[in-house]
Amino acid sequence: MLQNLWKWLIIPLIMLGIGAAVVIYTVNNPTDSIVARMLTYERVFRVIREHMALLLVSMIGATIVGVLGGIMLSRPKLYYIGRVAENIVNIGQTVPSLAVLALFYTVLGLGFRVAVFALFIYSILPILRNTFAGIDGVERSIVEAARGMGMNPFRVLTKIELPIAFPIIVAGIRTAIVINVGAATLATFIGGGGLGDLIVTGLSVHRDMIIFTGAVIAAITAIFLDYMIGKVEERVVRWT
Amino acid sequence: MIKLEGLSKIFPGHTIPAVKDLNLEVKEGDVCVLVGPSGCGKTTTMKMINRLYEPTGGKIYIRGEEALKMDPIKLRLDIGYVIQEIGLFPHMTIEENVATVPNEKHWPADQVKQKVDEVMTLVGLDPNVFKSRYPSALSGGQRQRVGVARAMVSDPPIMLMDEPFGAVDPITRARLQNEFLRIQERMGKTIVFVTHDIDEAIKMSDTIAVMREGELIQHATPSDLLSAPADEFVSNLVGRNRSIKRLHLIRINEILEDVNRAKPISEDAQTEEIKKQLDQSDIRTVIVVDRNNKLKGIIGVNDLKRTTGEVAKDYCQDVSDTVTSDATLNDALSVMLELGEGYVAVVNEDDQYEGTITLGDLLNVVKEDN
Amino acid sequence: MTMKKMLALSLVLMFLVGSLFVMGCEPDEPTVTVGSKEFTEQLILGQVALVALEDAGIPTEDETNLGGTVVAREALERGDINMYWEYTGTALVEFMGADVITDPEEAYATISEWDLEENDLVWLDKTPFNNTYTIMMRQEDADELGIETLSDLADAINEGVEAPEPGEWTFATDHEYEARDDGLEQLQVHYGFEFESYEVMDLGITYGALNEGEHATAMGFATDARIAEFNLVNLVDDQEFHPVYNCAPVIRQEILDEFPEITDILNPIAVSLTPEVMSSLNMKVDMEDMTPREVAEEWLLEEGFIGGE
Repeated sequence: MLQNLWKWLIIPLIMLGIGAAVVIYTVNNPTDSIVARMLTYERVFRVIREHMALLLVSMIGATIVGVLGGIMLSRPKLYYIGRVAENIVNIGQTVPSLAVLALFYTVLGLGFRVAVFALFIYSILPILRNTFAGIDGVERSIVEAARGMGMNPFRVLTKIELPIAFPIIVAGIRTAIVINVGAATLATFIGGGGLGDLIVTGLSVHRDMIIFTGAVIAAITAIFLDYMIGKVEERVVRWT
Repeated sequence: MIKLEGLSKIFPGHTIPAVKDLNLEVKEGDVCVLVGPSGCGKTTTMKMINRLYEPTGGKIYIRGEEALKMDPIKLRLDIGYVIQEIGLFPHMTIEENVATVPNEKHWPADQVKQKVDEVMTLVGLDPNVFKSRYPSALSGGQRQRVGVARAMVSDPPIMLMDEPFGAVDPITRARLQNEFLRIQERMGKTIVFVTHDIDEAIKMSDTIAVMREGELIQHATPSDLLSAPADEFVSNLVGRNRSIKRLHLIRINEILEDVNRAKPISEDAQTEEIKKQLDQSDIRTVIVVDRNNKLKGIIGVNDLKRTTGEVAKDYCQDVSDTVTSDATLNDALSVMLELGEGYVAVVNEDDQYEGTITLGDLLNVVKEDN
Repeated sequence: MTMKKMLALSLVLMFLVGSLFVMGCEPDEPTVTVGSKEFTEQLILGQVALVALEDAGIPTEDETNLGGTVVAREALERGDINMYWEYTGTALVEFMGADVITDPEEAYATISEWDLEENDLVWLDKTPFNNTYTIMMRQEDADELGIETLSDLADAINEGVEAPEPGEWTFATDHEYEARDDGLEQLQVHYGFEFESYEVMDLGITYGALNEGEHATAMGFATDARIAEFNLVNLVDDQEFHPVYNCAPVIRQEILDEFPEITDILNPIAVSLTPEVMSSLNMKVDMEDMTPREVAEEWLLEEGFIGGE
């Protein structure tokens, strides 16, 4: 058990180490006054905190809404709406994240909450679609067998449909995370803060060190989240 | 046990009823096979019994109780259900699959465990080997067995089976059918069984209900159905070779006593003895068994000439297929045709030799019948 | 004709045709490649130069909309482009590494001398407009609170005057202004005040953020069309904090040697670009959906810089 835990932790710890090393190095070795101003511990931790908040709040919300929405659309009464929604979602996915952000800016204005909301809406799409497709893809005979043996609809959903659809739902969540980590760095354009602050500032004043710090932490965050989801999936899905 | 009264079903959006004013009674312990071409309403009828489909009209009585007034979930928990696609849950182990109904009924864990082991053994799956496997690791025949085990685990008095052996190859199917009949003899369930295969219907049933376009055409014992088909449709369905179909109705052990038992010889028999026996045999072959009467092999005339040796063991050839004594005469015929021989060795469940059936024996049965 | 002679003749012909072909491809013909940064004013200025040079019959190539300051400057230094319009203040601080200069003439003289000496880059005449950073408020708030200068703003904040919408003395800034040495941090030190909070966002939306009341103050550029559009006001930089940012075409010496007439073409144009002119040109692109090229052509024609005989 302890050995297992260690195995689980080793990669996150390595990534945490790399991230910490990069931050400590860049903060302590600014190349000039601009870098020194932008890369302080206080500022770096603030943008990491903002970035995490952007990601987590929007992802948790999107997962809840996306999965519940996908389940609802897969129910017989809403099934045909679900098919239509699936297509709309597929089209929605082709809208670039920056455009989504810009759209929400024009409607709702500036700031962290608007950015979170835009990320949330954008992340719902793949989760909703995969949940619907995953449940829709469960073989009819399996569902019929479950019903025929006396499972009520709720049990069929929780014991049969959701577990079988789980890998597809997780794939949707992973897609959403990948999109979200990228899109979250754009939040800075509408005053949403996050690691995008460093990246965009670095680009506009042409200081590679600032870009590098922001980009490395953003990448580590993405890899870390994907890794954790992958581990959870591994633990839950053992039957394929 | 099961009584359908004026049962009908019209699916939404359709004008022609899928099932029309159907009356049918299935006695306790009987296997009633619903048979007919696809679209005749047999599956619809079956699914109304456990209310996967709600009838448009009519009544269903189960042990005298009106099924339509019962909670459908409770109703289904007490009716075993097997379908052609089996519908095993891919994310659950075999043990979890089989334990589905007991778990839905909230049985205590140790009782569930014990019952799962019991029913898996009953269908011929070693619990220690298969319990922790996932369905994806099983062969088609094994999955069918799990499907049956899953339906039987909570000992439901009634079982509904929709082409349960439809998705496997003919040989496995015959084996599963025989095994199932053996189990049924012991358990005496009331079974409604759906198939489009008239041979299977004749073999498995106590009564056959022939359906066409949503209507019940004839409900009779297989024997009556073969001798007195109600109309042209039924006689076309059972086909011209009604005599041969009778072979489905007769088990080997019913006639084995009356035919030549073709005495086996021991594996230690001397060449002289083998020769003597060969001369007496009308199939020009002797059957060799070991000390426990287990089938060891056969010796033909040519085997004796081709090889040199002293005792039967040395000349003995492997037998490629046998039948069990509870198989039907039709099964025996299939094996003979497959082997290209005029005889087949009959063994019991433990592979012990019981006798030999020849093509001539089968002809006699058919002749007698006519 | 013998076979041999025919072969020889065809070889000669092939050689001639081949060499003509190669000569035709020669990229040696001098061309004025005009670059620009990525924002409206730069796109217009780039087109102004292109249209004027084309009109004078000078071969040109359009490489406008390159990116930020550094990208444009590096392209010029490498020779990927021959000229673009640069701001004196930007060049002084960013390239020369000099201290901030707040006198327009001094700034221009310093940078143009240095660039000519160090980099063989010639600064043509500068514009009268000074597109420097500006700190803005909504006109009605400024009028109501009697704030005209940055000193007035500092006093108001320090004296605890109640802030206009959103009720706090907040500030909308872009990424660059937050980071720069002559940006937000030093502005507050210079005038001795501190905003209650600030929010970093894309430059394009600071004006809107101020207009919508999401912030009480915002930074921007003094010639931006939206200042007039949204009825905003530039607070006067009374203590000369922001460096001056007059604009001038910066051109590589060797291309100017090739086309010395460029000086006479572009100098009068630059001198005509007053703040009002620049702002109205910006307005035409930003608000009236004209392309930078249409705006440049229209203005040059109106002023008689092109189309003459």
